[in-house]
Amino acid sequence: MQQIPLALDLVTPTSFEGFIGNENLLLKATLAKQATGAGEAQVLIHGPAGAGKSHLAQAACYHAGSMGRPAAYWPLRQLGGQLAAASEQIEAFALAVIDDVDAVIGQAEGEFMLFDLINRAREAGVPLLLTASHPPTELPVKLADLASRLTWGAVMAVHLPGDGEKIELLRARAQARGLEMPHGTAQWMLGHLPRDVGTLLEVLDRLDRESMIAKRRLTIPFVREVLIEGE
Amino acid sequence: MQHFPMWQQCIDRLAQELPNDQLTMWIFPLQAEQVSDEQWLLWAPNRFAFDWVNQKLLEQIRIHAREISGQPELDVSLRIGEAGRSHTKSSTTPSTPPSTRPAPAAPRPTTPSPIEPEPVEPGDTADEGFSHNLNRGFTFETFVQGKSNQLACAASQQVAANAGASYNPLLIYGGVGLGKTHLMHAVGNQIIEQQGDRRVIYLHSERYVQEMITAIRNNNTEQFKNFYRGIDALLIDDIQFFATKPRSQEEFFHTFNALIEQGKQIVMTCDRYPKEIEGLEERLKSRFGWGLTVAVEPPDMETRVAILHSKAEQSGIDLDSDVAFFIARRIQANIRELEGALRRVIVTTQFSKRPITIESTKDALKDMISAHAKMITLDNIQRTVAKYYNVKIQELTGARRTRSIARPRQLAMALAKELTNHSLPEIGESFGGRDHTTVLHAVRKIEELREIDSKINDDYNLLRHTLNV
Repeated sequence: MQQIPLALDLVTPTSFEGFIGNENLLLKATLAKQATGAGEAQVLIHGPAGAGKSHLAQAACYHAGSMGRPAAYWPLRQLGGQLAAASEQIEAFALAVIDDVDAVIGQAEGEFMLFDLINRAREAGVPLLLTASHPPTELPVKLADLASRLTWGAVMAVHLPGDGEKIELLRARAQARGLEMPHGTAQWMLGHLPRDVGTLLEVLDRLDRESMIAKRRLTIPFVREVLIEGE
Repeated sequence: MQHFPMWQQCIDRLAQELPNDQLTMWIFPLQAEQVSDEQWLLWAPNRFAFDWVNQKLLEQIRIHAREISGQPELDVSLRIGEAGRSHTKSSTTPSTPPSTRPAPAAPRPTTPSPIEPEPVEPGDTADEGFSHNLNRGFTFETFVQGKSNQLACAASQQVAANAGASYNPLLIYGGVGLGKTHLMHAVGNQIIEQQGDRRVIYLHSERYVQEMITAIRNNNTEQFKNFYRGIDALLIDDIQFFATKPRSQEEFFHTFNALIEQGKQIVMTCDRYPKEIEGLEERLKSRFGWGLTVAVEPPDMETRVAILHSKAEQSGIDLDSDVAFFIARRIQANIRELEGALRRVIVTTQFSKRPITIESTKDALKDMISAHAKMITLDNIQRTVAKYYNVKIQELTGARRTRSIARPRQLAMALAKELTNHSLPEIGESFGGRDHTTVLHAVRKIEELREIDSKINDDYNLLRHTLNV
């Protein structure tokens, strides 16, 4: 009889610990300190899609929240025009996180709302964390007032983890689910799949379900069967 | 603050239903309080979060809370504020949105207010709840003076000492991140320090526009007018944002006149010479020029170094002059970026427990420095100058020597000399194979002209800015 897995995902809390990459230690320490309120007034982190910026942004909120410091998480692409209403309330927060600055770049109204928000955060003394695809000087910002404000605090790159670190992550996450992921299988995944951490973890979810149904181990033949032949 | 266990269970269940971003955005900021076995209170940090959770998530939360507590009738109410504090008012019925408050929001309290403050009625003469909205850190003491800003600083000090009596209005103009706002706050802070009971207000012009729109919507324009016409000093930032907003200009025009007539001080900032703002009424432009108009220019090398020393000192850091010169030489665009670079150096060296030396600074700033080096090229300079003067790049590099072409060409050469590491022969070569003595001549000519012709000087500074220096 086939075992039907429950339709729920194991949620791994977005924490700094779960974010890998030796080169990101400075970044994580800076964000963790900022979340306590004793750190930087403004930090902008940048990196390509899939680098884990949203993960870090949410981890910062989680970290602040765990210390009883209310944090605002505002992903610009989802928030749209509501940003103005949100920023009027900024004083109530101990940390404000603006995820994906790129979403408003080039749009007069959006750029202005972000400009206004940065001013309000400064006036109210609320630490601000921003994420973007590129460092501020390389973003095609139209409003000069915004461009200069994006450079105001520490600007830090999110470093992409190396293959070795991704393999370690996959194996550790698998183990947390009670699965064994042989080194060779993880290596095979990196050679055959999109290599961003988000995709790799999504695939791990799928393999978790499929291996439970099929009662199979995560061998290369099984993983290949599920991911390539099963398409 | 620790969550009580049942609320934590509730969060765990929601975590399985909601995407991570929603969880972070709306659920984590909530504080839960178990009032009794039959009642939980959830505190949203602000109205925005309150509205969202109320509309989209509260029912879902109630279902889990009732299951987990085993109380099918459990009352789960949402309020605005903070758990565990005395609450004088339930905020389940939203009051007037804060944007109707004509006074800008009060400086951030050390802990969030448990309830939304009552709207301060415009024209209310009681000073209770009156907020200057001034940043107390922006004073004349913390302002670093240099050649580029000394006139603006002196004028601001004059105004602060004799509010309403000299230089009214004072208008400070210049590019972004050069310290205009700092000076304006310094004026306000000094007025309050010397004459404590003065109603001084700092606000951004866009905030003025928003408040006016809200006042029109809520039918309280009279109160709005009375409020702004009844203050002692109005400090209004970035007036270029009034452009193409005729209704706001009209209202501001009357406020402006009323304040000046009563001898109340007005200080304004603008990102360019006000007469150059398109979409601003002539009568406003002319009035803005009634008092004193002063420019702030990009800081020179020495001022940038002094600014770095001052900022470092504020952070309790002893910055070596060599290091300050190293940073100042590379970051020239504006003070904000300079401050950003310094913060980057501080966090990096503190983390790695290294002293701040040129070597560690170079490491800390390597991304920023390479980004700058990448952007300023001879091509880029030629393209930017050609566009600014509306001439073709081929004309800049061509043989024509009429003044309309020769002047922009000389300017571009001077910029190339200042902003790139190219040799003079290389610069000459890129301008149509000219001799290096031609470049030298151009550089000297522009230096001379900048001293005597303010238009050329403004053009030069603006172009440096556009090139993101």
